[in-house]
Amino acid sequence: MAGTVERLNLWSGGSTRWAAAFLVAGLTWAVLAEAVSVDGGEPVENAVLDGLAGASFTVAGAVALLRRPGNRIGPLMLAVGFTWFFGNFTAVHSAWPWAFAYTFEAVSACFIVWLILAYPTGFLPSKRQAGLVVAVAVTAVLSGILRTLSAHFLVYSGCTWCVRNPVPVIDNEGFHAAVEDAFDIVGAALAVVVFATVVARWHRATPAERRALRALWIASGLLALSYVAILLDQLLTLGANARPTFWSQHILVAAVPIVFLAGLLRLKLARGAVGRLLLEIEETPSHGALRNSLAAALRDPSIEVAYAVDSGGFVDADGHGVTLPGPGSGRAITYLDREGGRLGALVHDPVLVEQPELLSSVVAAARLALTNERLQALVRAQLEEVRASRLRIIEAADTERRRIERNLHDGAQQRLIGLRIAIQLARGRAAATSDGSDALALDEIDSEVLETIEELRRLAHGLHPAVLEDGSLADALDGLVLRAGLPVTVEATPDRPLAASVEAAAYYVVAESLSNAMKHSGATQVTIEARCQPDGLHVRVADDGEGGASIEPGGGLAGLRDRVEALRGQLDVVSSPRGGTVVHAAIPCE
Amino acid sequence: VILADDAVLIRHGLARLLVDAGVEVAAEVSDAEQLLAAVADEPPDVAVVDIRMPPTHTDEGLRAAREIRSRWPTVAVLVLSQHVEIAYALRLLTGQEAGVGYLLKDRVADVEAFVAALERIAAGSTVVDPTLVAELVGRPRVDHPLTQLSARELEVLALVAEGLTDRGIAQRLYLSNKTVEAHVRSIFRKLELPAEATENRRVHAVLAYLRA
Repeated sequence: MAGTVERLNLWSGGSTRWAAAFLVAGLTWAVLAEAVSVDGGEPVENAVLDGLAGASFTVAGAVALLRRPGNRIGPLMLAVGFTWFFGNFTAVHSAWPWAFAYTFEAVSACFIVWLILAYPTGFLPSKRQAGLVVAVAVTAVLSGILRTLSAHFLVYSGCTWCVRNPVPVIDNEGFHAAVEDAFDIVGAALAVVVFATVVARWHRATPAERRALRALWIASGLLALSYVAILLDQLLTLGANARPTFWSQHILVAAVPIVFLAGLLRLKLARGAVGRLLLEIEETPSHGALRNSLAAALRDPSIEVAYAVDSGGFVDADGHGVTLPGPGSGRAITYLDREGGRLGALVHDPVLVEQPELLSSVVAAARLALTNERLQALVRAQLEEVRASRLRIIEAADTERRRIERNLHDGAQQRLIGLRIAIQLARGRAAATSDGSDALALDEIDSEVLETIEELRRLAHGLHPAVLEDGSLADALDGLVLRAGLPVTVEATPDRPLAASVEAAAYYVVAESLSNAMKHSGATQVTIEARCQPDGLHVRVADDGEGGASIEPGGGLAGLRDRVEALRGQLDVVSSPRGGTVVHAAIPCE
Repeated sequence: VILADDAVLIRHGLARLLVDAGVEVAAEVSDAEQLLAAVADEPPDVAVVDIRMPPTHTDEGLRAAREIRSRWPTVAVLVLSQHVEIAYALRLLTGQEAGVGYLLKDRVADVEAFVAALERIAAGSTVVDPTLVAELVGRPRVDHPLTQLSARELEVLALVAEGLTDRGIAQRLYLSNKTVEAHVRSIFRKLELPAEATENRRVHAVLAYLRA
């Protein structure tokens, strides 16, 4: 079902035969090469050690080919095992094979570098690293060609059975020595670059990658040690045979392919986690647990599951919209597709890309659970959308109320006040010029206007109290308490400013509850509490009336609940004849 | 006085009313910035400030009022508001010794009362709008000492809160000074307020008490 994990099906019967064929051919080749060496005068001990080192690559490569057929590490190890023995054939008594062996002696180093840089997929991750492999290859081959062309006519003078150089182009011993020295220096420099690259990769790696690539770090360390052993071996000429440096160098190298193979197989062993995942999914179908199970099964604690919504885009298990990371974010994405569309995506550590089998098995095991959770996530997303639209409606209504309140105050009310002033001015003139009946009439008009102003003020205040805008919630509640027609005790108010929408909701909860208490309950007193707690603002309005309050469609309390729920809050009403009515709202502050 | 209100019609009308009543209007401005400049230019006895002015039309007037009181302690400030809000009044009064007032805007048309309030503020009194005081006093309570006050005492208390002196209260209620003093002592005793409080302190004390 997942696009990037189709390689899983490459378990073909053919690979067993190929692996067996490579194994037999590689081991035969090793025995042949070491026989040539011994025949050429190499001590048997040395030949055995050298043979073991090369054969170790061959065996590990064959096993890797068998167990991880889609992976290129197996073929690379086989290539190392094959080229490892090129150098042995410089001991043959035949000119052209000698020339070939003498020229390509160092080719195995190229494959070893390739192996290190390309572990665990066998694909070089960047152009820079590919360039490094090419540089090593060019150095090895070029220096091989030059040293062959400049080798002394007789390979060593004075020997009776040595071969003749078939291509004696440059007859200059000084040049030959220079080529050899240059090769040593460039080779050492390249080795340093390769190890530096490995160290840099370790440095960049995520914790999961570091765990997964443990084999690489060990193998690189072994190779570095063996390189040191070679240098020591050249410096300390301790004797022809069985020098500790010679021994250790070969044993270290022989261990390298085994470490790589163990790493590869271990990556595969993670499949065992799938069974556990299946059990976990069975046991814990709860919300969010799926992600944790996947994280455990894939050994990637950073994994995120994103579900595709029909309109395009993704949501998380809670139904909140998420954006998938782009290229360069250091995250990898595996899309989960099914017939008829996209199910979702896994956002994970890039190292999982190297373990396609594991990824695909886990995804296959979790498919039903993923499908389920997606449906739940979609429902949550829809709920979230409804909630957001409810909030927008309420906010739009609030804005409109605010606008009307402003207009009443700054428009109508100001004009009426202006009118009163005008009346007063006219009255002053009337008193001076006429008999006083005009002044009386103006007084009557004035008191009418005054009443209108007061009515307007009450109306505007009911719409949206201005003090909620420029004061605190406590200020606004003060005003409510002041105007309440019955005794009200305020037990607590928030000690810090909250979001405007939260304060407005709290204000309306108190206002509506107070007005209910006054109108319907026959209460003799009311207690108000508004407290900030870690999970949000808790507003509690309790009266000692005869109860009977309930949330009914279209009622004031239902409107309150809409408002509170739109802010992800909760509103409860408990009402009984003895206990009075308690309205409790909990509103998250963020 | 200096008038600060962005509603030109009202500002002009009020200016004319005040001039007719014999009050000198030194300047008319339309926002807080101009107001502060005008006060700095020639400090008036009283600055009459609309609470809502540009740019945000919320509480610029209140903030300007507090700034004037702190920078020019001799200038009294009367804030005009369209709202009966205890919070605004308290915000204005908090930390002020005297010389501030909080009146509803429509009071301006009752010229005599308005001018009287201006004079009280200029003389260093505190004035709070009667509507607000009435709400505070009239607010229902349980187990509150206020319930022990007689109707007359409540009436007197409201006037104390408005910033009137005993003498002013006596005039308003057509009582003798002695009677008013007796009422006030009785009120302060029942409410357990410090009896020796000076004129302005007692407004604050009463307001704070009423709010509680």
